[in-house]
Amino acid sequence: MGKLTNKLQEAVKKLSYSTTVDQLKRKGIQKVNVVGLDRIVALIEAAVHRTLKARMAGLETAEMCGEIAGQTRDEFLRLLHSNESLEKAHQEMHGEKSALEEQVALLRTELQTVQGKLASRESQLAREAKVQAAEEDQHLHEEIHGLLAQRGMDDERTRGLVQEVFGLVRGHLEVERTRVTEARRKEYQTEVELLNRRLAKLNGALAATEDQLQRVMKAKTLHPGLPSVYKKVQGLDSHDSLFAKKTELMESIFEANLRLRREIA
Amino acid sequence: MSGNMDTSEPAGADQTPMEGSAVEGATDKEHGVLYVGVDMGTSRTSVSASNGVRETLASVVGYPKDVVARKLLKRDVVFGDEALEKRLSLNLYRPLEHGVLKSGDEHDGDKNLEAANALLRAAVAMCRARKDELVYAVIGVPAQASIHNKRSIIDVARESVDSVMLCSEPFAVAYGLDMLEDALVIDIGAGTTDLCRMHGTMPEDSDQITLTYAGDFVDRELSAALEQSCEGAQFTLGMVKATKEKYSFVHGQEEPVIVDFPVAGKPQPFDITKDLLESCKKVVPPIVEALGRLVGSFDPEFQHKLRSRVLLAGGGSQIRGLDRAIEDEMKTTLGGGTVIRIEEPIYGGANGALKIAHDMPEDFWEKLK
Repeated sequence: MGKLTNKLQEAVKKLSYSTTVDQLKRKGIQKVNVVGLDRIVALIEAAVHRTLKARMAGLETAEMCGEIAGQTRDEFLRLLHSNESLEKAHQEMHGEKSALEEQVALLRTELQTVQGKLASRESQLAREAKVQAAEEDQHLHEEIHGLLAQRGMDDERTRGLVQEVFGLVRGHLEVERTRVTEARRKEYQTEVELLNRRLAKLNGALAATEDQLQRVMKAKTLHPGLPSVYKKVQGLDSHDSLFAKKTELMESIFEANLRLRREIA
Repeated sequence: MSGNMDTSEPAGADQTPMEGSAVEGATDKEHGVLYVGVDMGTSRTSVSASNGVRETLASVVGYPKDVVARKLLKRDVVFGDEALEKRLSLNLYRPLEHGVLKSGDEHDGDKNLEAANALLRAAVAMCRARKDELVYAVIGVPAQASIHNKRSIIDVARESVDSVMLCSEPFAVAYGLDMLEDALVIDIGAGTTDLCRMHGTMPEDSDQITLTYAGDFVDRELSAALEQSCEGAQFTLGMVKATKEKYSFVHGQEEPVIVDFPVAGKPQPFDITKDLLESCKKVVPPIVEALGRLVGSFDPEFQHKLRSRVLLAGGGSQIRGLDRAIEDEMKTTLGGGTVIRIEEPIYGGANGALKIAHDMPEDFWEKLK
């Protein structure tokens, strides 16, 4: 019985939860009665012993008593174990949920980094190309102007010619630049494709993890329920001091409800 | 009954009804029977179950006003105190009025019935019934609820439980306390105050009186009084109700009751002691007058017994000193009496209903399935 006592104490501790005076007040409870664990354990043990003694009066053999006491103990431990299993499953689900939440946070960070990296590389490329083109245009313009000046063609009349030549050469240059940009893009293409593939993979992993998280969250709310203390329909206790009166009352309530159903029908 | 703790984590009203519905998806129900006692009140709905769960929630159901609210709340329906907190994003429904299901025009009636359905399912869900257990429920209804209302409650309940019975609320309170003979029950709710005479048999219509002098009446009276006395104060009926629930008294208050109400946006203190006392006291004479009618129409030989066992229950009975004030009024008008305040006013009805459910024989449940 020592083991049972300890288990009982543990069970009462596990099944209880903490509350505050404010929470109790909100529930309309103004006064609570306090019963010590030892007292509960002692009462249950006494009740089990008395019931066994009363039920076995006149029939008892040491073996039968032992068998019933053993069965009672086993049933109690089984119930306790089932409660522990539930608790364990609940805790595991909590752990899984936390792990998945961490994973989602990590993936999100990684995704943001990759996206940032891609965007920054593309904007850097565009910036560099722009600066380079401006420098080249300036240089070309100066060379054409210098060349014509050497030939003594730097007066007002030749200024329009310089612009025309510059425009013509620049047009050809733009075509070449596009080719060069394409070539540079191709150069980076492998890297960009790699990053895009990584991005798609991360997106997929994120979606899958979020799905899993949703499932766990949903499963968490699907509490298997708290078992009733009754396995069968009870009815009035024949030892109740008001048995006869209560029986009449139960019949009256039932008849009133039956009448009500008929009226509704 | 004492304030024993249930074995569950406190269930939130945010649980959607389907999640805990005992009946939904159940195929094998041979693993036990869960008895549930329900007290569906205008202000609060309380449940007690045979798995140790005892919960209460405000009888309020809210539906998100639009897609944005729906996305923010992440739910299609919100219940109880949470619904009140988030009322700005919700279309709120209080499906019960004067203790019975509201009926209005066709649209509102349907919405209220839908809200009542959701509320009852949420209440049953809070019991955390196992899917493989039978759920048998007894629901306390006001003493003089109409047949239309009883039908509505049964229709709603049948979707959430395996078998259901209705019984008079004040009777359930008395049954829960084993006071079946020579007792008078006063069950003060938000919408109604139900009085019931217990004399060993099932109370008949003549044994029961329903008054509208209850919690909501006090709120309205107090609100009207504060409008007169607290010049410039801004308050809603909800704020008045919260103030009443915190400070209400009819006897034994020595300290003044000072509360802050905003005046043009700035909180200002107001002494509401007198208004609170006067408003709360207004329920006493009609209750005692009704008690007098029930006592006066009883067998003269046993009238003194009735007067000496008056049980005070329901959320509205939490007004401080109410038992004493009723006794004083009884002394003046009925020649005396003893009022006993039950230990758990909010759960008195649900605990009694649970006890009735437990004591009901199996074949009765079967016949009403």
